[in-house]
Amino acid sequence: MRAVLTIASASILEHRRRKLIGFFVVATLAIVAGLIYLTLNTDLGATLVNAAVGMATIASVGLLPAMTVLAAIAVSMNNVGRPFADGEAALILARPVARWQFVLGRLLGSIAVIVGLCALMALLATSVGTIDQSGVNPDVLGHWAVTAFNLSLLAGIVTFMSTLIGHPLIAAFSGYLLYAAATPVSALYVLVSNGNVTGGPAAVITAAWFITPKKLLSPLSQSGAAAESGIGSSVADGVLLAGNGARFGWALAYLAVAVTLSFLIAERKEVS
Amino acid sequence: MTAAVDARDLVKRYRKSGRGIHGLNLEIPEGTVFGLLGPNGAGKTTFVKCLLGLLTPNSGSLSIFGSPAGRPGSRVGVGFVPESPRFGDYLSAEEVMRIHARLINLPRSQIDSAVSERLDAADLADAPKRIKSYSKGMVRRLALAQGLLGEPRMLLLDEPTADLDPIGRRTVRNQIVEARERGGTVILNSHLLSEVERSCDHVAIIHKGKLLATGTMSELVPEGTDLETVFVDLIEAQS
Repeated sequence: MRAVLTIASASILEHRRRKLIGFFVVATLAIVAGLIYLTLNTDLGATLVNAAVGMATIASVGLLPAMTVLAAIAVSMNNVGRPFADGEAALILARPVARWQFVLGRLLGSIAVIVGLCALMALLATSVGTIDQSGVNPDVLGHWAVTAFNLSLLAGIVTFMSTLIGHPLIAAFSGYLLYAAATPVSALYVLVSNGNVTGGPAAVITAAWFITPKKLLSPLSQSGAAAESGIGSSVADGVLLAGNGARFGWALAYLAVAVTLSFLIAERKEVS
Repeated sequence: MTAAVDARDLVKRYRKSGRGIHGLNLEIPEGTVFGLLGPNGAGKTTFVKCLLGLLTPNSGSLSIFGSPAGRPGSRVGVGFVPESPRFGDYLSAEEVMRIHARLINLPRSQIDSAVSERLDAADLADAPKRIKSYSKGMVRRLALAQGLLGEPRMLLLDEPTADLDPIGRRTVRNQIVEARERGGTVILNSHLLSEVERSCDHVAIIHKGKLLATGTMSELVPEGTDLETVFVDLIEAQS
């Protein structure tokens, strides 16, 4: 356990000192500062109606989740492939450290950074609510907790890809593709469930549905789904599972499989 | 005398180049300073990496102090100084040393003193904050310092004097002497014959992944000749 924690803390140190993470934090703070300014100095409702400022505000708010996704990819794409290829892992693995301990330590370091970033986002959302005197919306805090979980799942998938493929950019791209594929694949799976698609195509879609991750639904998107009828946003979000309880179990099992496969592949990987 | 390292019919083939190790049998006695000699591409680094479990042999057996190489437990008490050491450039020398001290399970009470002692010996106590600003020589000295942490039972040195100035080379030699006096086993992987001749009491010459000769320095190098002559003659006889 000491080896895993040592590797995880070294990984956190690495991410803290990489300018990329600093960029994400600074950019987030800038966006939130802008929102706080608008909240304090304008009637936000009227501001949002104003085309130019309104568009900028909505775009800024939309950037926050996108930035957390990018940050999650950035902190996990170099977890295994690069250190194995450039020799940085050699000195660590020359110690009495097993490969799985190295992979787990790197992944835990990434998850700690992701959870930290989401906590920062939740804190900023809380401060905006406090300044705005609109109060703290528990759904917003729930949203960031769910986001932290989903992004940890993404980090697990990108780490698996980094073990399998090695090249950081290809690992990042393919990992994100697998993570994001849940939405369209789930929508297609609805067609299979309804009997609209049968035979070979149905088998392919069903297989694809099983290998794409099932993310947790945020309280915000759940309330959005409730407002819709028929196939709501919950379908588009990855679906046909009862609720967050089933999704949680599925996501944990998915993460466990991704991490176990990473251990097995890392065990056979040669270190430069 | 117990064998510190025992290799039997060891084979490690690289698919693309066809190089590697082809049926190596080698026993390294405990408590010796053992020179592993060979031209570039002979398989010296491959052998060291197999010992540390960084590469998996295709066949044969390999053990360290009786424990099969590749298992984490076989690396307890083993220090390694690679040919091209690579540390996270975001770290400082002290942070690297602390990470390695924890990885070898050094008791918390001993970490501070062991780290500062090794950094002082490597002349890195006042080194700049981040490794990215270090010279090649400084990175090598740091690699040596981390390899010697916890007074290892076995020290694996892969071309340790490359990029070092004469003072740095002397430091390496002194550290080898210190390790031998402690009763440790040192495996010095080098193609600098003068370094090996000065430091080692046992030698093995490897060429194209096969063992050509092994023995004590006096067995291998008859009086009136030198290691370079023996080495060149052996290699040329194979060509």
